[in-house]
Amino acid sequence: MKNLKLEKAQNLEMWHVRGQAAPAAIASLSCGAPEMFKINSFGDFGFTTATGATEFYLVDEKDGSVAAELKAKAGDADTFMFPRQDALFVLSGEGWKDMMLRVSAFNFKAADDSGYITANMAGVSVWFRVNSTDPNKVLFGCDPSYGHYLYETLCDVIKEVAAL
Amino acid sequence: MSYRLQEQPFEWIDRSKTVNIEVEGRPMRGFEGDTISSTMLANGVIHMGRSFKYHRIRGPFTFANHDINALFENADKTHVRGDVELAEDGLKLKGANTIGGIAKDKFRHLSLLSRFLVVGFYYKGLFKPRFLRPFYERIIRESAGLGKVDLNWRGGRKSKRYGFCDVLVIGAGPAGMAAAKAAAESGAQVMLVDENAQIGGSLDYQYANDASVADTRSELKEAVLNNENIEVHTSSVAVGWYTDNWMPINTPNGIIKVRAEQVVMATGLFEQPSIFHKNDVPGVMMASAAQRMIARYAIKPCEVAAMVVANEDGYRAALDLLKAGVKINAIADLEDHEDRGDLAKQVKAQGVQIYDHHGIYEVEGKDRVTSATLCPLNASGELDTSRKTTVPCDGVMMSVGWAPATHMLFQCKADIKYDATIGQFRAQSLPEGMFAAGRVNGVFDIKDQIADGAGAGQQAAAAAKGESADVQRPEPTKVRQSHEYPIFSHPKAKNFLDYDEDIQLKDYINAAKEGFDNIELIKRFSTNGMGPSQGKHSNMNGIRILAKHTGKSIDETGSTTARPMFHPTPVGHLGGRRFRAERVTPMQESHVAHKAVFMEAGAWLRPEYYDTEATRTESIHAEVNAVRTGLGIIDVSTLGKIEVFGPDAPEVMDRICTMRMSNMKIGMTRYALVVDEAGVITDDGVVVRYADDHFYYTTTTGSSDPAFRTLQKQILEWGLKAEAVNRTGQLQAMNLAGPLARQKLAPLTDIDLSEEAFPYLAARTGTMYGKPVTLARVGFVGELGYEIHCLSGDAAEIWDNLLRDCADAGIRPFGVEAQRLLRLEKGHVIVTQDTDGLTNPYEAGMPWAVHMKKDFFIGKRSLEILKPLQARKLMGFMFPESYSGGTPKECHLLIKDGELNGRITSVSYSPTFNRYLGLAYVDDMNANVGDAVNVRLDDGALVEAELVSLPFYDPEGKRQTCDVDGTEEKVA
Repeated sequence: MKNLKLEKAQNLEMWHVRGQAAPAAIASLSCGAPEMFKINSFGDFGFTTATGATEFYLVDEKDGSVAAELKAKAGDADTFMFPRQDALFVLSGEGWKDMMLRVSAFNFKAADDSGYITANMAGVSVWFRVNSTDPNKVLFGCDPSYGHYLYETLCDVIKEVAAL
Repeated sequence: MSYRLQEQPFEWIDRSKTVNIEVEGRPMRGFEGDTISSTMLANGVIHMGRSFKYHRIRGPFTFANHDINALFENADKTHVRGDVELAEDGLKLKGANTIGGIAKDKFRHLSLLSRFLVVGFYYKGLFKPRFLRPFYERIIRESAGLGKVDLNWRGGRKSKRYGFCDVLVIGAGPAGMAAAKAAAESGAQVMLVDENAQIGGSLDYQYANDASVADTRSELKEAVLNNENIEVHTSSVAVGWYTDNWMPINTPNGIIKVRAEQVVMATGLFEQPSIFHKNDVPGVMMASAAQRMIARYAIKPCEVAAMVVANEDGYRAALDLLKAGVKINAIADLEDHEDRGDLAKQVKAQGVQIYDHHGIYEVEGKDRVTSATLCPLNASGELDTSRKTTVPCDGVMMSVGWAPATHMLFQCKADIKYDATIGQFRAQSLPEGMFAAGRVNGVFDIKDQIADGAGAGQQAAAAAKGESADVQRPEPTKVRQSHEYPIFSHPKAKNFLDYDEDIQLKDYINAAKEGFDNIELIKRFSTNGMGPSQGKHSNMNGIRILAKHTGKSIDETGSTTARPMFHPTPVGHLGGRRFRAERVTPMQESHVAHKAVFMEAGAWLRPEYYDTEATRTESIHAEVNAVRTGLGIIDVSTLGKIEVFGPDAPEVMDRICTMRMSNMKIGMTRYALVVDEAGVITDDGVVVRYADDHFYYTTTTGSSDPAFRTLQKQILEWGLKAEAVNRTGQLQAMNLAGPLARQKLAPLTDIDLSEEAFPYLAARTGTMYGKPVTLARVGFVGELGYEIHCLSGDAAEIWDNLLRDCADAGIRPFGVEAQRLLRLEKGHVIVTQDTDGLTNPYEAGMPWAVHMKKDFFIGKRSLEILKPLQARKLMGFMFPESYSGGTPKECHLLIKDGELNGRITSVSYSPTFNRYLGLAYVDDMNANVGDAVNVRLDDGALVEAELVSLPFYDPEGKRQTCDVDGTEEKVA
């Protein structure tokens, strides 16, 4: 676990899509409709996921094409797109799953790149998405107000495990 | 003299590396791998501690984690267990529970007073006279406890972590290793845990000289250590079992909280002592302790031994002693050695005198045993003291029976019964997901133990896959392993049942005679098993004694409840790394730069005030003054922010809030009061209407999550077509307030701020500094003000730009304290400060916020009932301007005619009015403005205050609503 690296992900944008017409809007995207709590991935970290019958999340590169596509479709009635300003991080390194055992009760060893994982990490509600091309990378995000705390805490834990 | 032996085949020490420690100033040298106790013995020191109550000198006893005779402390640790903790180079220790050291302990003669210090003596003897009780209490408190806690010590936290496995095996002895190997070979992910520093268990000390298991030992160890499916944790203790196989494993590096699909308990046994006179004198020990000393640390337990045995293991230990060069002068077999098999014959063949049907009556010796006296047993199992045989010895080894480590089997609700054939408790059936293997399962033959472990491992691995394995496992032994009553009375007592608590046989029997004849009651009264060993060496004998006294069977007597923790666990491990989630807004850096002093508001960190003046009060008053006369800005990002949208959104808002929201115009705001089903105020905020089907609703800082939960639940329950999104952390908000607000804000936004375009209580969307914003013209602080809501990522920039661009107007950031004072002057209520768990809107002076003409809203029916029952009301009060006495505080009481007449909810010194003013509930519906009330201060003084109408400040509301666009003079 000595090669763990935590970075703030700056080049992504995230959208929270709600409304009765949201499923149709999401389904019409070129990347297709995601299954419940499953990742429908595109690009390095881009994905859509469904967290409810009328609730979806979209992560895309800043000014990405999928987000633009959705914005165009969301102009229809009863589809609401709220920008998410989550604190986004990328943790990389071979031992990231072991390191997560120190901050979360979720069994990351059983996680793969197909699922949209929501778990409590160091006391904060966090979502996770394992990178589909590099299993040694995970993207995760939390409410922006917890971002500073989570970053500092994880840096401390990484330092601790590196010293073991 | 040193007790160190020549190299032993499986010793744990590395003789190429020496370590130096110091115990009470005495330097000692050992080898790497030595424990503190083995180092002391290697240096000829047998005195390892003092007992808890009588401060009797104590030596090695179990040489495991089953007693605390060798208990030490240093600056970092209050409980250092010498028998198992490694001697690390440079370690400095002193004995726990001594005054003046182990050798010269001030209380070393306390044993002479033992007849006065019987069980419960402090209840019985220190009860009268009453005036001396505090004195006695002080003495008892000073004497009690093991180890001194340094209250300034801040180290020792060890991070916790989580672990997952298919099969968790507790105990890495022969059965545990076999279980781990079999499970792993079946494809399971296995975690193997053992409290010892190395795996092997009894194979490496009880069977160290048994050639028949040599191959099995090496094969098992190699298989376990080299199998990548097995994660091994040594020096680690499984300290409890919780639902669904949730087990904390305490390791030297902290606790692992393991969730196991299946658990195999291969926890083995604790050897139990025989109870005889002076069975605690140094040199008296368990036979297994002697075997551990020899096999693990190459320590010779004594030169000349006497033994008391009641099973084959005792003879195995005798052979080990003989091999180590110990002379055995006598073996007292509580039964007949002819029944012990080949091992007894081997011992006898070496010329050792065996006394069948004998027990040890007493030992002699003060600092170390010097002789043992044996007596024959009569038909009733008691010693015939008329026929004594005394043999000289400097060591007495006891091997009279075992108690299984069933603690966690009890915790998981296994059906555990006493098996009289074996003489121990054994699980008759186990819950799903739990297996027992080896000696804890009643399987004693070493080859059977291994087969039992392998079978359990296979079954557990199959169960983890949801399958079952058809495995034939060995039957429990049919040979009794534990004597049914190895307990002998003595007229001089000092025959100890519990070594931790210095409980003698007579203490326990007397407790039973006094009526404590239930196993749980007698435990608490006598404290048997309540010391750090938690009954590991005393519970079984305690059960036997009580059963005999009451004439009940062992099963009828039962065992005490085995609760977690199985073994004392450091608080620093239980605490682990502190995860104290903390929320900050994007303006945090600016707050710090402006000298904010922070306060906690739930998980949020908020500026209480900015430390810009000489004192806190002066800083707060300066902030108040800036808002009243110029311009201030406060970060209110912590407010809850919820979007409600969909065709039925107006209906949802009408039902959630006491005021009607569905008739609000688009682009307007309205005060939102929320009550629960009982009519109690739970929250308030502001609702903005963005569109016919879209509302934006702010809550108080602490209410965002519960408010959102309520909204979601109610929308589902009501079946309405609406949705809610909690955007509390995603959006930020700041309030620009003061008479200069409009003038300074107007050039910074594309929104028309004129009174006509943007009246009081309106909300408009647009941009500031190119960033999308919503401005709401609301006035919590009683001045012209704009709440600016924006995206989280834009907030810091807008805030910083505002401070820069309004600097010429003297803008000051103000904190929560100034805001509280400003709103108090304005007479605004803070929910949870000016309301409590019973307050309804009528009491809080807000009947105007309840629209009873609506068909329904949450709490409406309750409010209909409560309205005519109102018995208190929130009123404003002021102290005289000339008042200069004690400080009135929130929760001070109002007194009328000597009776309670209300309480203060908010009070502060107002720089605007130059006096104290506040809000208070008055328990008198006839109280009127102008009446006098008495406030009782901390010192009991009554101060007269006058009830006044609200608000105190700007009662006509001109400062919020008039067309103010310029300076203070224009406002005036």
